[in-house]
This record gives sequence, structure tokens and C-alpha cells, in this order.
Amino acid sequence: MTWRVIVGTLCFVITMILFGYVAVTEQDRMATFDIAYQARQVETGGQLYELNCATCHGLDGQGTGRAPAVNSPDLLAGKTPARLTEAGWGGTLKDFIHTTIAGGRPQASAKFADYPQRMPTWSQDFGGPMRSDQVDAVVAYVLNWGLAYANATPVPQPTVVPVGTDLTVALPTGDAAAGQAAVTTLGCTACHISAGGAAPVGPAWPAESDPNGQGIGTRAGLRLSEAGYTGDATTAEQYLFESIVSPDAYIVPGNATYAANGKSIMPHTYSTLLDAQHMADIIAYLETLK
Amino acid sequence: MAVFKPHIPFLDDVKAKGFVPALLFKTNEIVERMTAGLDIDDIRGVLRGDPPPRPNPRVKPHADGFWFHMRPTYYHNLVTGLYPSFRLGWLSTYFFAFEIITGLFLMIYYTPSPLVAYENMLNILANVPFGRLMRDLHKLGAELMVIVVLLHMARTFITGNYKKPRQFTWVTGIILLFVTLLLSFSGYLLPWDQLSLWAVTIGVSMVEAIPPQQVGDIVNLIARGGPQFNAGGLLRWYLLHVLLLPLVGLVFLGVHYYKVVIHGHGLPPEAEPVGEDTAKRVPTDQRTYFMPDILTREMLYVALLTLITVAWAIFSFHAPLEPHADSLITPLHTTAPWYFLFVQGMLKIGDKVFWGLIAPGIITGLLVAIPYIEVGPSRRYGDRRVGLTLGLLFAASMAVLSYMGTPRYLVSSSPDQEIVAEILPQTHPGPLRESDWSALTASPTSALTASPIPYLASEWQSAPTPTLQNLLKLYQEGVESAEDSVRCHRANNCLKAPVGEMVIQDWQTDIKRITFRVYWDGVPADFCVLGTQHEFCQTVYYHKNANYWQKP
Repeated sequence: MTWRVIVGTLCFVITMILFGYVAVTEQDRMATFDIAYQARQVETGGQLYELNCATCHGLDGQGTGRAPAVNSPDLLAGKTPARLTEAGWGGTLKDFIHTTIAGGRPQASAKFADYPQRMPTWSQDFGGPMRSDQVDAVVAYVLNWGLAYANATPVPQPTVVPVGTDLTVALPTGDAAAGQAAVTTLGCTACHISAGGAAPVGPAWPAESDPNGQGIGTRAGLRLSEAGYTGDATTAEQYLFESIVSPDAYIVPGNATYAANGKSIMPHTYSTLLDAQHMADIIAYLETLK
Repeated sequence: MAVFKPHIPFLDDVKAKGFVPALLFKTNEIVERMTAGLDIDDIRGVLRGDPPPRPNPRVKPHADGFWFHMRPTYYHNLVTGLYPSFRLGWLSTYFFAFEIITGLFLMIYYTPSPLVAYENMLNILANVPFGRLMRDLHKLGAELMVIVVLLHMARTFITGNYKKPRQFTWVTGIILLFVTLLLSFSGYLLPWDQLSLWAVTIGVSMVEAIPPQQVGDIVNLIARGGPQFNAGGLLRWYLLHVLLLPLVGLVFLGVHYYKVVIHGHGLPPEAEPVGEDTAKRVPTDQRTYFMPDILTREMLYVALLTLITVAWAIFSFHAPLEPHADSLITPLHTTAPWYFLFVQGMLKIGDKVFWGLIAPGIITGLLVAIPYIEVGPSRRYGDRRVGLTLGLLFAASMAVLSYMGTPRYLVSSSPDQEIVAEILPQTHPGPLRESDWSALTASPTSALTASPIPYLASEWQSAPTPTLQNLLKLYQEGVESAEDSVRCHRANNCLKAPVGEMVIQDWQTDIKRITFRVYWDGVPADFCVLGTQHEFCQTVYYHKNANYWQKP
């Protein structure tokens, strides 16, 4: 009986020592698991990317023409990648990618190439097909591409030199087609074109929507010589330029809903948002709307 | 005059005897009350193995105490050793307690919701100190408990202890066996990984076959908590696992134990006259008192088993955790847990209603009915040749059926997928994921087309590293058996001139992309284009730190 007590006690002591061993090594074990799990997450993300994302973003992440490259320095390199700055993103890169994948991208980027299809929502939270852990995995996989850019010099943001409010600045030659694309992406048409006869929020551009049958291209030249004109423009181009960058310079009398307290309801931010080329394109397009 | 006059007897004692003697006396008294009859001297005597004084104070806890009244005061000398009981009943109880303790620990970190259950597992593994150990112990304890309970049943059958007067003890034992199996099985679903979802889906799909169809549909709906396993189903199985089954188990454990106290421990069959049960009539000179002999033995077994289980869980046994459950992806070669493999084996024989429901029902019925059918008076082995032979045949057929339940027997998936599944299984890490990451050298690139040149399984000897050679050799073996083997001839799906290719690409930092491509009956024009005939491709990503073998 004595030996039973001794062996039993010994077993108990050894068990406790084993627990002690676990207690000592547990920190490392947990850290190792964390690393291993993150690694497996990247693997899972790779599989998911190949099945769901590669069709548009390319298997190698370089883009296919249907959607922008995700394996690219403007997204992954440096502390503030260009695309985050462009979106005015205050969070981390990981959050940015996560949000974009989970919620999709309903609106096109103003400063990057536009693509015919918008990024759909992927998370089940927003009606997409992926569970949240799957979205996390894809994020991990995309971020893993970034490791290759860790030491690369960040690519500067696409040059947007704000056009400013000086009407006399020399604009480059405008391209009407590019301008038409730009007014769609920028959202101008939401207020300035009356589709289907509804009253527009701002002055409508096309001739058929104007009570006098004059398009914005025609009207721009006429405003300058109106009696109460308060702006500085001397040509039709300058008038359009002025209306975009300083909406309050001259408020056309007649329609009270376009302005309140002498201030136009049009956003006052375009002088800082658009560059000279954008402006020239838009003006060129508007001038075609006689 | 005081309304309330406190009176502390201990202070009177201190006045009469002095502080130290009064304190010792009081301590002794408390110990005696807690042990329901043994004072400090008695306990010392028990631990030193002194012969009991008369009257024997060591029988008092059996009469007055809660825990010990569940155990007999003394055993017959013939049943104190390992034979004939092997202490399997005690060890089953021990594992029940063991599972409750480790289970409570896991419960603290677990929420039964498909949204977070899997994340909880990751948290237990990554952030909870002792988390992995507790999970491993819980899983290992569950497996061992099933084994111990099955052995306990086998032992009871072999020594004939189910016979009169212990028929009902046997029935409660069968109930406890099913509680054990269901406890283990219901725990499968909780981690919400692929293994859990599909193992339980297979198990539950059986009830779908209950005729008539309306009943089957309803039972199926109840068991799954909806048309598919999801939040409702997980909560149900969780409640089953942590509430209903343990409660049923506890109740029947009480009955089972009570019956043992009432009937006594059966003697070895050869030790008593045929047809008599002398367990309760133990001659005074044949008695071994529970305290200290049996108690120390039981504690020794428990200490030893705990040590083995803990050491096993720390150094080698790790509960698997597969990818997150996905009801859209059925992993190839999903199986039921090993103790239900026999059902899966029977299902391969034929009809789902008969082999999935009626046959297991008959087996259960027979198990319950044994003591009432087999009523021969003798427990001796020599008199029970037919019964014991049938029992052995039953065990053997269960083993064969269990083998038939494994994917090795009659699985009719296509051989091209089987080849790749050998290296890249969908239910466990497997050879590729467990091989050395750095030894998987990227395939050379063609100077003409800049696309990678695949490694050919048939040319495994020329692979750059031994690891790769082994993998490709395994691959080639699979390719050869898909072209010509007993198995593929039987299933009539042998491939014509199959070729195995493998492409390894350095894909991202620390990530390799590995593509397996099997084609047969001619070379497809393009490499792995979806929908191509006579070609099967599977791609996997392998990260340097994935650490599938879970080394600390």
C-alpha cells in the first residue's frame, strides 16, 4: 500500500511539473500559433482570390483591364499609399482594403482610371457571398503582396495641381470626350442634366432642357453681356471656368432654388479638386452643348 | 439584562484547557466532521496502512458521508486486484469528471454561434494560456472515455456480470454508453470547422431516412435546427452537449452506482457456485476495506492515467482544427467519428433505411436485451462458449464494418481527384503541407514562353530535392494505380495513360503556389483551363510559416 501512495504522489507531482512546463512555454506556443494562423490565412486568401478576384484583378494582381491592379505600389507601398490619400482615408491600409472588399466601391475614383464595372460588395454583411473570415483572408493575401514593396520607394500620387480660381491661367487644350467622362465620374450630371423632364437641381446643360432652348455652351457667351453680370470673365470659356471654381461670382437671376442668401448651392471645392487638364476637358465638353 | 447573549463554546474550552490544546481539539473535530467520521489520527493510520482500530472508524464515512456512501464499505478479497473488473467502471467515471472540468474551462471561452465559434477556437489556441492543452485534453479525454466505456462493457459481457441480479445495471450501462457516444459526437460540431460540420452532417443525414418521409423530414429539421446546419443547429447541439446529455449521464451514473452498491461487485465467475450470487455475502476473513486499500488503488490509477493523458496531450496529441465550416464545400473523404464508422460501413452495403436505421436499431435492442435473453445460470467461461463466440464475432464484424466505413473501402470518387487527394488531402494536412517549405524548389521557367516547366511525377528521380522526390514519387504511385489497380478495375474507372504534373511557383513573399495537374488520354492544348476534358487541376498556396505539424 505504501508504494501505491508513493507512486501516486509521484505521478501527481510529475503532472504538476508538466503543467509548469506548459506555463513556462505557453507564451511562445501562443505566439507561434498566431504566426502559423496568419500564414494559413494568407493561403486561404490565395485560394479565394484565385476563385473570386483574379478574373478582374488578374491572377498576379496586376489587373486585366477590367479592374485596377491590386499588386501595385500605389496601393501597397509607403506609409500613405496614393490611393488612400485620394480617397481621403484616415484609417489603416488593412482597413481600407477590408472596407473596399467587404462593401465594394460604388463610385469610381476621380483621379485613377475609370472601369466600366464597379467593385461589387463581397461581405455577407452587405449582401455579398463571403463570410467575414473569408474577407479577412483575402485582405491578408493582398497585404502579403505588399511585403515585396516594403523597401520600395513609394510612387508619388498622380499629379493633381489644383487649377485654382485665377481665370487668366492658361489652360491646356481640352478634349470634349474626356470632359464628358469626367462630368459623369465627378457627379456634375446629377444636378445639371434633367433626365426625363424632371426639374434639375442646378441649371440644366442640354439645350432641350432649357426653357429658351439654349445649351450651356450658348448661354455661357450670352451671360457675359447681361446687365447685372458681376463676374470677371471676359470670354465664354472664362465664364464656364468661373462658374465651376467660384459659383458665387455671378448668380443668374430667375431661379431661387439654385442659390440661398446670395450663395450658390453648388459645391465650392472644384478649384482645389480639379487640375488644369480636367478643367480644360470639361470646358471643351460644355462648349459642345450649344 | 442583555437581550442577546453570545455564547461561543470554543472560548469556554480555551478557559478550561488553554489555547493550544483547545485549538487542536477543535481542528480535530472539524476534520472529523468534514470526513464524516475520521479524525486526524484515523487519517494518519489510513495513510500509513495501520490495521484498523476496533470499532473501525473507517466504515463511518460510508454510512454518514455523501461521497463514500456511493461506494461499498468493503470488497471481497478476490475483486481488489485488476482482475476481474480492471477498474474500467471507475475510470469511466473518472473521465466523465475529467471531461466536465476541461469542458468548463473551454465553455468560458466559447459562444455557440456560427459567427464566432470558429474565432473562439482560434482565440483559445492563440491567446488563452493553457487553452490548447485544455482543448487537447478534452478531445483526448473524450476519445479515451469512449474506449474505456466500450472496454467496460466488453469486460462485463465476458465475465457474465450482466446476469441475474444485475440485468438492470447492464441496461443503465448501455444507456451510459449511448450518452458517452452522443456526448463525444455532439462535441464534434462545436468548433464549427469543416470536420465538425461534415462529420455531424453525415451522422444526422441518417435520421432523414426515417420512414414515413414526413417523420424523417421533421426529425431531420429538429436535429439540424433548419434545412441546413446553422445558428439554430449549432445552439441545439451545444445545449445537448453541455446540458441535456451530462444531466442524463449524471442521473444514470447515480442509478448505475447505486445498483453496484446494492448488488456488490461480482466475483470472478469461477469463484462462486454456478447460479449463485455471493457478492453481498463476504466472509469476514475475506474482506478488504475500501479505506485504505481500494481508495489508494483508485487514486493511483487516476494519478497514473492523468499523468499519461496530460503528457500525451502536451507532447503529441493535438485536437485537429480544420478550415472554417462551409456548407458549400464538401471535403473529399469526410468520415464519421471512428466509433460510428461501422454505421458508415453498413451504409455502403445497401439501403439507407435498413442499414442506417433498422440495423443499428436492432444492434441497440439486442445490447439492451442481452441479460433478458441470455438467462443461462452459469457465468463460467466454459459454460458460455456459444455466447462468448457470438460476442467475439460481433466485435470482429464491428471491426470489419468500421474498416468498410473508411474511405479506403469502396469510395466512388474519380481517380484523378484521388491521386491529388493522396498528397493534398482535404480532411487533414497531409504529405505536401507537412513537407519542408524551403525544399519545394520552384519549377524552372521556359526560356521561350516564360511559363514554368512542370515537374513530371514519372521523373521524380530527377527532382532537385529529396523532399520533392518523395512527394513526386508518391504522386507517381497514385498515377500508376489510377491507370492499373485492383481498385480502379473494380470501379471500372481506370485512366488511360495518365500523366501527373506539378508546378511550383514562388508566388508572393513566403508563399508558394503549387498546381497539380493530372491529364489522361492525350495532352490538353492549354494548361489548366476550366472545363477541359481529361484534365484535373488543383491549386494550393503554401506559406513558409503555416506550421501544419503544430510544433511549439
